[in-house]
Amino acid sequence: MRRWLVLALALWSLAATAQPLDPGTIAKLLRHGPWPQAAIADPSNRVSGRPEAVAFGRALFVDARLSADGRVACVTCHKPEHGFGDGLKLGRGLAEATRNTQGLFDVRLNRWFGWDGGNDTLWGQSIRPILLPAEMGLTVAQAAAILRREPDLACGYRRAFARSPESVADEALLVDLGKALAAFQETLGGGRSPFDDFRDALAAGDRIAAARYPAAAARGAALFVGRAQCAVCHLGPAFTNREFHDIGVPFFTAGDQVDPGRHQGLRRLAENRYGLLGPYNDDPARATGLLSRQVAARHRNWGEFRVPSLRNVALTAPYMHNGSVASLRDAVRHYSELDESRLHADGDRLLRALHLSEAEIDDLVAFLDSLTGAEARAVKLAPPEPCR
Amino acid sequence: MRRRLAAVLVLATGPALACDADFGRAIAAEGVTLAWRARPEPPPLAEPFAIEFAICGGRPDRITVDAVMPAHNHGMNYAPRLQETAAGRYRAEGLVLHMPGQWRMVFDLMLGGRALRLSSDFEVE
Repeated sequence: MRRWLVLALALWSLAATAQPLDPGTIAKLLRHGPWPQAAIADPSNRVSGRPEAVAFGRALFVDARLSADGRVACVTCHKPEHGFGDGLKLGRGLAEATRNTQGLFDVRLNRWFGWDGGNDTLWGQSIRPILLPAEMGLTVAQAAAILRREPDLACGYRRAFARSPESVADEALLVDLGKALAAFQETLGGGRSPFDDFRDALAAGDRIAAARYPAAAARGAALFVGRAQCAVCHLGPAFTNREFHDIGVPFFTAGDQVDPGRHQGLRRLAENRYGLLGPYNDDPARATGLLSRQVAARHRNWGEFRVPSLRNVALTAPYMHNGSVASLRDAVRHYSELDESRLHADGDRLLRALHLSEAEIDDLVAFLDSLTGAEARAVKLAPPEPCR
Repeated sequence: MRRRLAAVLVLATGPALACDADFGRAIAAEGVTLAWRARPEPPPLAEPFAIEFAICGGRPDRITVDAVMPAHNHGMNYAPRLQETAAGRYRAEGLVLHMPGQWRMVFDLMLGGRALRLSSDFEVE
């Protein structure tokens, strides 16, 4: 009797709070899962998935000795409480950067790295801040010297790579450092979210479980895959097509400079020694480099930036490549009131101002918020165990 | 060089075409038939894939393959790598259809100084 009462209440609750989703909407929502996706080792990184490399990368991630002033570590800008972003408009290492720091949850799923995709590997992207003057500011030789000089780092290196840092050339040592950092970052899974429970309940036809999802978030989800067409680019289980678009965010930077976005990223990619087409790719077949070989420069690449995943997006404000959008509400408003004149003449004609009502904005924000789970909100970085 | 856009006839798999027996899609125009299939089939959304195709009724001097989204006025972010795998048979790799919707596979052939464009539309979800 009590069980029936609970069931009746749950069904009543569903009817009272949520419009039933039509089969087409449900089918579209199901494409955003299942989650999480299986971890696959990176063939371009021979220590990917190796526990000793993960431990070494974890130690490096929080180690400020790898910077010119000894005060900047990866974790300085990639803080766990901000989804491994920094909560700032623009990143700040040794100096202020020109772009917003991107979060690192589920970064292993990226095809391209950074806002402009100038790197095609996580290990190459991990080397970049070490060498950038505005971030950690070391030279290749300095980074290698620190690794050889510091006993705990040399110890971690030997365990991860089964060789002594003394026997390795400077640049190869720097690359290994990037590969250990990548092995650690590959473990930064963002976990499941309330949306995943909703999506799986829909997949199972479990209306009771689906009814636990807030009604506003359910309406926002329907809007996301429906009229707002967000899922055209923020598609699939990771909520990104892993490519680049111009969404009308100004690309002028401080001092009247211009950030060319993907246009610049493709130029960097072509010159990049630390990538799939360079000498340090550990994949002997080089099959991993296919898209890096075949990627084509287009006129429209100017001002395009990488479509970020929306998973755990509530933790990574502010938003956009220049951190110009303070909150999720403002991000939704950006698309609602889109200035179409900012888009390139041959840009995607798909983008149109959505002209959302306040209630629709509330619903979309509720949906986006539901993409962040308790696991990601609670994540902490335990201090690394010193290697002796 | 004069370029002509051929009227394109998109056919379902048909027994009358000699080179489409192994393929799911065929296009015929001006005495040339091109049959193609995706690997994997159907073409995936936002993931790399390849296509295999055969050409009957002519041997092109040059072939280019592209995919475009007519409704949005853009193509792919990649230029596929093309190889001839056997006489009249080809494989193009490195295609990525990065948005859902209607795409058009476009084959531009140069046949003895004659330009021929063959295309077929398909939906990606």
